[in-house]
Amino acid sequence: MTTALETRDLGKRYRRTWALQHCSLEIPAGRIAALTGPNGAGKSTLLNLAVGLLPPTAGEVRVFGAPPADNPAVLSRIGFVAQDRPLYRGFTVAEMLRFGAALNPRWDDEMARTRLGRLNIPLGQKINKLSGGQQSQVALVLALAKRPELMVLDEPVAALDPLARREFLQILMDATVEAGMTVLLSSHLVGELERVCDYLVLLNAAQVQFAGDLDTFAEGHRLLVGPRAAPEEIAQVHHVIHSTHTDRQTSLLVKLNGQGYEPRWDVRDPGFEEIVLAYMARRGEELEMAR
Amino acid sequence: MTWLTWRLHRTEAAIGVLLLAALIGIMLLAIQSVDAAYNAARAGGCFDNGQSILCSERLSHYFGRSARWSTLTTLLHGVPLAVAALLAIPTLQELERGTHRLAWTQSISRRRWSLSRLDFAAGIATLVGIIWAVTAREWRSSILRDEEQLRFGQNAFELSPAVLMGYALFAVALALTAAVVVRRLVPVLALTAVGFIGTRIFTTFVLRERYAIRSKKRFPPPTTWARASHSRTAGSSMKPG
Repeated sequence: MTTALETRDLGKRYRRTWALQHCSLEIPAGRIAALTGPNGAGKSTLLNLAVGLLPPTAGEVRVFGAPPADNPAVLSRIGFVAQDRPLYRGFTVAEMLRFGAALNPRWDDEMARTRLGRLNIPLGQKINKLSGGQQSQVALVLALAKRPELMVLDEPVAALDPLARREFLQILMDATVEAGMTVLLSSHLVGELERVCDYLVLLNAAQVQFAGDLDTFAEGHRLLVGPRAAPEEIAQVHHVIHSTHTDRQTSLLVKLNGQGYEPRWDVRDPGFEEIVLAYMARRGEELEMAR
Repeated sequence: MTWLTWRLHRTEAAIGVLLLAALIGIMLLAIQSVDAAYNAARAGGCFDNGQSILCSERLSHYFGRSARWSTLTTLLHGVPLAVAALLAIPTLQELERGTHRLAWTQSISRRRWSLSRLDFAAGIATLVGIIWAVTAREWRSSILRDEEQLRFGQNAFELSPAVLMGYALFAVALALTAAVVVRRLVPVLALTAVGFIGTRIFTTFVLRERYAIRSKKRFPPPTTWARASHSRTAGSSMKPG
């Protein structure tokens, strides 16, 4: 199994704040990895480090075994769609393709033209005359035509309506299957992620909470609901991810430790989205406790 | 890469060509107008013994025109700033809209990306410097008519080709540096103008005062070379430039 992206104790600090810290993970080649976490968790920072736009403050990042920053040999194997999908606004679509062809040795012009044709995006149209969805499509086609082995997308569908979102992800997934690419995409849309991804990286408060197979992610998690109580007792046995309290009730999302519970707890299997949200909702002291 | 650099700069290049053409047009008009007055005065022999009323009229006409048009020289000092602004705008737009992040994740090194920009900027600055020097020289020889004034008079140094190229390159370097650091159009233009004009005032009025005083040599014509007794006027109070 080859590794597409590997980080070791990777960290990035802006002035005095760590945007990402002690991040060690490996994304195997051929996987479709989702990167999720609350706002400000360090998702964009991690992606920008992965494509070499940011220099790490600590640790290292490797793409196919080499650091990506300012390294044309590695950059030619990475496709990147940034959060605000920057394109030259005064260019026509055809000129954007010429830009891609001029700067990339493995550029597939025919593929780019075919895809744009299928999307009914006219080549003569100026970028700033295209709709937001069309601009996203052009940015995606531009990245795909590099014929990358690793595709990195930062919130690619955040600005799209549900229909455009579905279409965008469809094109991405078809291309992935065709080319056998590895994909790393960040998103808040947990439901969508579960549908299209098979690998999960969960960030919160600048740290990796989970990195691994999406299938194994939900394993061993239970939702316990019972009369209001402090979670300390349970925490001695199981790993409490997140607790919420109302006046009379306490709900705990826990990761099992192989032992049973007291009968006063009502036990249920939580959904994928519930578990992800529980990890995202963890704040200060819970994260401290987990460490 | 060359295509991309050109594509990104072409609007500003067109504006620059128009401005330069307008400037050269004005210069040509000025040269023609001053030359006409000069030729009229010379035809009447007014420079040798211009005592007649006609001559004094023609001479005042000539001097009046030269003085009026010589304010153009001030305009010429603004050329490097205009070049710098036009060359900095595409880079500013790139940084403002984040398209450099698109460029830097293609299969090129940032060094190549930056060098293609810098080569283009330096090339344009040099070219404009040359065109500007040729125009300025034509212009000055038309209003001055005096080889010594032309070579050593006011502005002779400021408007010499190497210096003009240097000024243009300096202004462009200043603007691009400001663009990379500040990234917003108005502050960048303001910083460039202040930096450029400030540096020029400093070198002209502060540094140059401290330069060694120029010495002047006069060589007699070659036929009298054997009995040459050249005069040397040291300590001339004239400042260079």
